[in-house]
Amino acid sequence: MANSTHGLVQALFHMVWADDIVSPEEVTALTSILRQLGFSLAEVVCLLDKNLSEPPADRDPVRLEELFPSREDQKRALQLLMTICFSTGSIGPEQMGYIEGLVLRMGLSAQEREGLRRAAMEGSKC
Amino acid sequence: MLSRFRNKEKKAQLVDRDGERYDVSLRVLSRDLPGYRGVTLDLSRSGVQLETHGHLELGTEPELTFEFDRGELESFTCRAKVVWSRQQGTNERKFHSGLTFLPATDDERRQLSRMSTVLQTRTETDLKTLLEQARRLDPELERSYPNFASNPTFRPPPENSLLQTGPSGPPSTPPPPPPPPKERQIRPETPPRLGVFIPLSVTLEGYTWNRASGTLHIGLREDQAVHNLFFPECQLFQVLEPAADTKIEGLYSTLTSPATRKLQLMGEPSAYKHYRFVAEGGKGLIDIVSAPCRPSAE
Repeated sequence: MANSTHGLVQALFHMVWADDIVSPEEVTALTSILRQLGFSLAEVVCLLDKNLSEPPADRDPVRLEELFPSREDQKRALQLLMTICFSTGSIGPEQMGYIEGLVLRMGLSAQEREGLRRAAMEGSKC
Repeated sequence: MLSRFRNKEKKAQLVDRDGERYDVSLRVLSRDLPGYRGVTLDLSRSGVQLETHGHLELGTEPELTFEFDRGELESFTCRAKVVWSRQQGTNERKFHSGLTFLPATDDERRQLSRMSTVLQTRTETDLKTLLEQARRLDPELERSYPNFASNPTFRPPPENSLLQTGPSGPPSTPPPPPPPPKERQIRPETPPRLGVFIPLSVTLEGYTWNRASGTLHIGLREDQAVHNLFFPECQLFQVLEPAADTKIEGLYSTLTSPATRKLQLMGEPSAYKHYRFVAEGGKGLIDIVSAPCRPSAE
């Protein structure tokens, strides 16, 4: 698995565990995202089994802005994280803090952020 | 069939037998038994109660061959010592006898331990089936059970709690002042290990279980593609319901089931997981206890 993909997967699980409650909606959204990223069904099952059994030991935010040099890839990664957030219909302060930190480090404008939010909300409805 | 297996409460024991007893009806063959056969009434890791057509001599040590009715256990043979035997009522062809196992080899001891684990899992399966029927088997229940069981700071609700049940009516004396809030007390200091439910929409394509090497491969069909999962160090593989052509709706996985705890107590070094493939409504299809699963070559 490429470093960038590994980092993104790690960040997705951070997002799911952000409030220490893993909801079925988050698991469904995560499953869908992992399949979109190209993981096979068996790989997804094993990733979920491994990473949802216990909270992550390391919760430091993943430096996605360093793993994805391209602006578009950064935004795409952020949108996937937002999709997890919106899957439950409400965002907790921990998830908000994680996203805000990334937005700042990536230097996104308010307009870009709003565009990602809308896209993520659409994605979470699928 | 599973309803035949139920955990038996401790009762006055005529035989010094350790371990849980399970009501289970299995055929037992032996050239030392009257009619060369008997049927188990209950079974534990250390002994068995048998029904036979004749009296068994105290102190004799028949060699018993147990025939298991399901695929998860092979038939096995073990010598046992008769410690009591008596006629049941007036029926001259119905005798109950208690025997303690006399395992002579490590293999026989391992077989007895394994049998005990499988019977325990069957008992759990029964309980779960009942709970499912009551529509109470859900992730929350699975989470709260290990939470309460392992949480040393859990306290029952205070006496004047709204959760308390019983006759209601105006109290004859003024109620005592409410106790201080205990929310902080009942919150576990560390999150319990939760179970995981992984949603699926697949059917069972097939499986290969190598009992000798303890490896299990399961093929799952999703549309036209088949995906293979590998369960290493598989300690238990049990098909609860005919799973072919049944839509599998999810895979439940937990680190803390009675079966995994039992393996830990037996000194097994690996961290085992208890997996259950479930159909619609949470109906259990396949039970597996193994090391964490991983993808196998597709």
